[in-house]
Amino acid sequence: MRFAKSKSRNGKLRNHIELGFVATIDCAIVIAAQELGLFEKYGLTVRLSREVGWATIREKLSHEELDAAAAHASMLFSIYCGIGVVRRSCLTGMLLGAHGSAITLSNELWDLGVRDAASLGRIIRQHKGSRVFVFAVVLGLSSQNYNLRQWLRSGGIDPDLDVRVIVIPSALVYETYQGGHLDGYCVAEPWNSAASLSGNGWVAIATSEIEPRHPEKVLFSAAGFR
Amino acid sequence: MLQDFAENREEEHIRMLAAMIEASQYCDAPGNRPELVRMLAQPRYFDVDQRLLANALVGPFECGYGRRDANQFIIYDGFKVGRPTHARGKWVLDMVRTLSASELSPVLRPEIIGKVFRDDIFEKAVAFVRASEKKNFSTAPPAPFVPNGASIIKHDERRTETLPALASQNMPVTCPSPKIFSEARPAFMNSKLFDPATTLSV
Repeated sequence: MRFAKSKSRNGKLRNHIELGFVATIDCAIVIAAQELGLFEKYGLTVRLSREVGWATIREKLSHEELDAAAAHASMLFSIYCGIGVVRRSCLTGMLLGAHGSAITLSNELWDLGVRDAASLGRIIRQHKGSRVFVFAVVLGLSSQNYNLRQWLRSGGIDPDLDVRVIVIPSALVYETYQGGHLDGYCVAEPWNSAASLSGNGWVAIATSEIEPRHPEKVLFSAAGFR
Repeated sequence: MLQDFAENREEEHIRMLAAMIEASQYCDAPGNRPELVRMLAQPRYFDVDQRLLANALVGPFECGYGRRDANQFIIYDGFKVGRPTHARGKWVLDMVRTLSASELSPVLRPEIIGKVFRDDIFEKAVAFVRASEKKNFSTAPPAPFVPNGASIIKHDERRTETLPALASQNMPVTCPSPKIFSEARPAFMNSKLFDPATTLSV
C-alpha cells in the first residue's frame, strides 16, 4: 500500500500534503505552483499525484489517500453529503479557474451538415429510430455534463431521450473517440485540440461561450469529521 | 480519528492556498503561457505534444475549420474567479441538483453552501500573500523552469539552453499510467513533427 505509512489510519498526520490532479488544463495552477517552487517558498512539502480521471480523485479523497485535490466543484457536495461515495467533511478556500472545456464533434457529423446545436438537432431527429448518437463527459456531476446538456437543449435535443451521454475518465476520452465509439464529447483541454489539430474532429463551442465565467475546478480540501 | 487537513493543519492549508493564489496569477498572464505549456507538457504531467496545450493556452484556437480567439478560453486568476463566494457555491449546488436524481434534493440543502464554499479562508490566504510580499518572505526568486524532456516548439528556440535543475524536480510524482500515455499513443501526440497537410481536412 503506497500511502500506508503516511495515512491517517495509524493516527499520525502526514508530514507532506498529498495533492491529486488530472491532466486537464483546469488543473494547471497546482502544477505551476509545484514547478515554480511556490510550495517550497511557503514552507510546504507537496506531493502531486496524477490520476486518470475524476472518479479516482473522488474515491481517493473520500478514503483519505489524498489531503486535497484539484477537483470538480460538485464533489464538495457529493462528498460532503455522501452521494455515491463515503461521506467526508470538506471545503474549498479557492476556485482554480473559470471554464476551460469545449465540445468536440466528429467529422461525420460535419459531413452530415452539422455546424451548431440547431443543425445537430435536425440530424438527430432525421436519424431517430435508426441510430443513437453517443456523447461522452468526464463525470456525471460535472460542468461538462451540465454544459453539454445546456447546449444540446439549445438545439432542441433532449439529452435524456434523444442521445446517449456516457461517462469516461478525462485521459481516455480522446482514445475512446478515436476508436469510433463516440460522436462527440465535452471535456477540458487539451483533449479537444487533440481532435481539431489532428483533423479527427472539430470543436463546436467552448464552455466559455455556453456560460461565461462559470465555476470549474476547485481546490478541494479535506476537513474531517469532528 | 480522521485526518482534518483543512482544520487541524490550518496553517499549512493557508500556506498552500497562498501558493495557489500566486500560481493562479502566473498562469493567467498571457506572457507566461508559452512557459506554462512547457511545464504542463512534461511526461510526468500531461505527456503530450506542446502544440496540443498551446492551442487553448496561447491561441489562436484551431477549431478544425478555422481559428478563434483563445483569450477567454480559460481564466485562472484567483482574484478574478477564485473567490469561493456564496453566489458561486449556489451556481454549483443548482448544477448538482439539476444533474442529480430528484430524491436527493432534500439532502442537497442550501445551508451546505456556506460550509463548503469558504470565502473567509480565501481572505486569510490573501492576507498571508500580502504579508509575505511585505516581509519579502523569500529573498530567492522563483527558480527558472527547466524543460524536462518535452519537445521544444520550433518557432520558440530561446528555451533550448540548459538551466539549473529545480529542487522540486526531485519530488516524486505518482503516475498511474493509463494506456493513452504509453503504447497506444496516437502518432500526433508522440512528439512527431506536426504536418499541417493532415489538418483542416474538413
